[in-house]
Amino acid sequence: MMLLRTVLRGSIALSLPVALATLAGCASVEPWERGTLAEPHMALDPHPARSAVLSHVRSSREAAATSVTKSGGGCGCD
Amino acid sequence: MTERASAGKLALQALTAAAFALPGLATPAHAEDDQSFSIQYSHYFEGERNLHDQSYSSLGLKPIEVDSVSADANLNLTDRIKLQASYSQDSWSGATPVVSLPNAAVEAQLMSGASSPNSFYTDRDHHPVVVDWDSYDPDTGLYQFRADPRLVHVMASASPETRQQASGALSYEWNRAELSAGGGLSEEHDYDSHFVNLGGKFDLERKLTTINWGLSYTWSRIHASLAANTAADWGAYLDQIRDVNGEPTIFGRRHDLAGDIGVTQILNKGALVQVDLGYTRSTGFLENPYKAVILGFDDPDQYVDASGLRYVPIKGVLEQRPNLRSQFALTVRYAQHVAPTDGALHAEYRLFRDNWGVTANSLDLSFDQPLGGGWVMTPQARYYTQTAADFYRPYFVFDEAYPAHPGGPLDLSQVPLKYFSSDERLSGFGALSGGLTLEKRFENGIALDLAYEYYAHRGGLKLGGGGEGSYADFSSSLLTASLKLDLVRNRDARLGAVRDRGVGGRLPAFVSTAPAGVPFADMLARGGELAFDIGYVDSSAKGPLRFHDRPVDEQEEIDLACGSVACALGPLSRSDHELLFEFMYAPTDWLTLIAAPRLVNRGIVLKTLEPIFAGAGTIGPRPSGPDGSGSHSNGGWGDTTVLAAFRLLDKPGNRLQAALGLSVPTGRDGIRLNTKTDYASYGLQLGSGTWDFTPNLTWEGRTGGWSGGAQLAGIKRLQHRNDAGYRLGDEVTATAWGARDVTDWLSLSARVAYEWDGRIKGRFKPHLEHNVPEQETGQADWDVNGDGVVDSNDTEEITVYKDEMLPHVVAGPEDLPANYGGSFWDAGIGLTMTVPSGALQGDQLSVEWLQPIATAANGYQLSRRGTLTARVSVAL
Repeated sequence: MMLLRTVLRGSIALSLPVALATLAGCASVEPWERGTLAEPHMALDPHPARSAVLSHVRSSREAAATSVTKSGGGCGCD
Repeated sequence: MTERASAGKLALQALTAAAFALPGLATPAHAEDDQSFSIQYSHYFEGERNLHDQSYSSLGLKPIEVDSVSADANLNLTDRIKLQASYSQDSWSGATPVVSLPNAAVEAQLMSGASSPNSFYTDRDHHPVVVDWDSYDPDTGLYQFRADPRLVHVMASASPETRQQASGALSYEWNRAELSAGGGLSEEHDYDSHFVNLGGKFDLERKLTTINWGLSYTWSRIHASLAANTAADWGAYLDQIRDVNGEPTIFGRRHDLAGDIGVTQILNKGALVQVDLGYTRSTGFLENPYKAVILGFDDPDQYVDASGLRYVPIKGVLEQRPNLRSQFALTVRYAQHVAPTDGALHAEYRLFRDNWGVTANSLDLSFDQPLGGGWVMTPQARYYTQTAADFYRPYFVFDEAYPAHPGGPLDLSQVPLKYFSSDERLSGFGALSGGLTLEKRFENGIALDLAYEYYAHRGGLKLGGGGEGSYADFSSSLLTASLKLDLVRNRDARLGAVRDRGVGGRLPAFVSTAPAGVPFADMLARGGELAFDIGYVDSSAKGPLRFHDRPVDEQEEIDLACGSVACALGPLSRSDHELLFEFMYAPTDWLTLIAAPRLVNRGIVLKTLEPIFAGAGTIGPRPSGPDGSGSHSNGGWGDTTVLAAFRLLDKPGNRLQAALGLSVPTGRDGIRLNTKTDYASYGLQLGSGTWDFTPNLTWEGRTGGWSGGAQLAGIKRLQHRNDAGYRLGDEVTATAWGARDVTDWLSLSARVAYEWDGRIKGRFKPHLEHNVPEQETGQADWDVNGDGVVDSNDTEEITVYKDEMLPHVVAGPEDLPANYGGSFWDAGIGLTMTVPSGALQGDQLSVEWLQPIATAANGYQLSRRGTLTARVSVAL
């Protein structure tokens, strides 16, 4: 539980500025104003296939394994 | 003996340990709006690690290398239902650390000649030292020694191995929500995983805010051979080790349950952020079965002389980790548009903690900069740092006497630690990486990109200091190249081109309806067209061994199948997988150029027919033969075929084409298993090693709903010998088929095929073998003949070790050239689907199974099981 609390505390600390920014600025973005956001290079992950390979390689070299939000795979490179 | 010997002892026969990867931990891809097909190739390679006084070349080692290929498709089945499917394959080879230990222990081993490190000395303050045994001072009774605080890895080499993974997901979209469900499997020779996952998202506030979530469950089975790991104590796993084909094999099961929830928020017209919280619970066998740790025992009651020298016996033990790992991860991603350059800044921060004591932080920054003309350049940099797991040490020393069972192995119950690992991935370290991606997007929906990343793992880069020593530092590089096809844009572009030429609105890019297993039968319909084709071929064989077409018993196999020597090993099964990539381009209507590289994976399972080392006199010493029984495989790039296909005749219902081709020897032909200096058997080599001429002639006819065809093809080796000393036989194939259209998009086919494979000419050339034991008559230092004096008449047989050129060891039937080739008849059925409409209009999927019906194999070979071929052909 200690662990969970630490992580939650971290996430709250990090989320706070995000939440403030959200309140401050997002209400005004109408669908027709989202052209820039729809550009391929503005995607949160513009290179998903390459990210998959990178996280695959990192999961076999680093202890912090891939999270559920990334695609994974066997090690392939002990 | 050196580290090499100890590597051999501790060695991993195969180092897959996909152990630490969780294929299931991917939510089904949140289906993209666009329909796409992509393929990606990546090449990972490491630099050499610091082995102090030894080099990779002197130990016969190569740094690890991985070749990966993946294909991915996203398709709309209906307006609301989407399908995502992917396949990937990794092949890797090279040396990896098995264990780390004080360099002083390696020095002590070198001096004592032991087969593996078994002790070291320390000074009175417990710092490892190297003792100079020649420095004995009779006056004091003491030896000189010097401090050696260095640590070193013992490396072990793996034969090339391959992992394959297939997965798929279906998703359903509502106006403001999406749900997806998927699953898949990952297979390699020592690790199988299956996984299912479920995910979704909800849009809130007119899609300003999106909640996304995912759940996954993975169950894995580990079955790793420990045959080469005899120096390490298996104590804690005795009940998990069973004999498989004569090899001790460790069995384990593992379960991973993962979940995540996140929020994506549009902040303004040019910025969005995602915050995601994930939890993974892993239980079961979480060890890497190939990693060992060194346990040292510094007996507090031992005799210590005036110099303070202390003796510390050591023992390698398989690592032990807790059976539960709880992992939390917080990920924040942020994208910011940079108006002055139209660039996009991406930042990703990740915090990870688990109950093993590992805390990791990473920050990843990249900047996507469009350059005009469809070019995008993306520089990227990342910093990662982690603390060590609670049970990690490079090696362990306990203040107690060596706790052996009387006369037996280590008594682990007397070791005060339950968990211990020296896996560098659980150590404290930092990593800095940087890279560059260059992408080109074409108007017709094709995008190509090329990326490079350099990665430096350094103990000294750990945040806050205190990371592992520099002995474990390494660097690696990752090259990726990918092709992505936006299916809708590409179809529209091709339809437009067809209309411009006034040849109707259909897209028959592929003119052939030949079954999947007929190679290079197709041409493109028109000049200017491009196409891409992936074929998968699985052909395998199994016991019993046959002579021509007659099963033979084990006694005959031993006596006759290896020629003039007795067989020590017999094959149980053989596997052969091939992924063939064809890039097709038609410069004019009558000519199509084809370049076809292939990835191959070949494996064999051998059993012991006689004890290998018993009776060395009868079957010969085996200093360097194949590793022995068990599973062996090789994977990597095979030979590349380049072809020019000419349209000789093209009338309605009747066409004839001829192709002139060359097989370029890009596949390796002199592969050796592990650190051996002898070659792996002929059938395990990945390429022919020779330039080969590969012509074919294909005819196809069609009337009504019926079609048929025939092909004559051959391989003529253009060189006398390859670099390894032999030449594969020539080949001729003849085949004929008939097909019936069932609907306008599906046809069924039946085919017969005849193949003649010539014998292998020549054989592996002799290889240099180190330290071959030889019996020689030499001077004795005692009175052998009993004449009262020791002189030159006193001789005896002594063993000397020499470097020698030795012929390839024929251990099993597959080591003998006479047991290759033959005549083979096959018959089978197949189906070909041609997509009638939609984004994939004109593209083809075909599958075929061929069953052996008659075999006249040369010599002793396994029974063929049949050939499965699947092929996807996509016009670009």
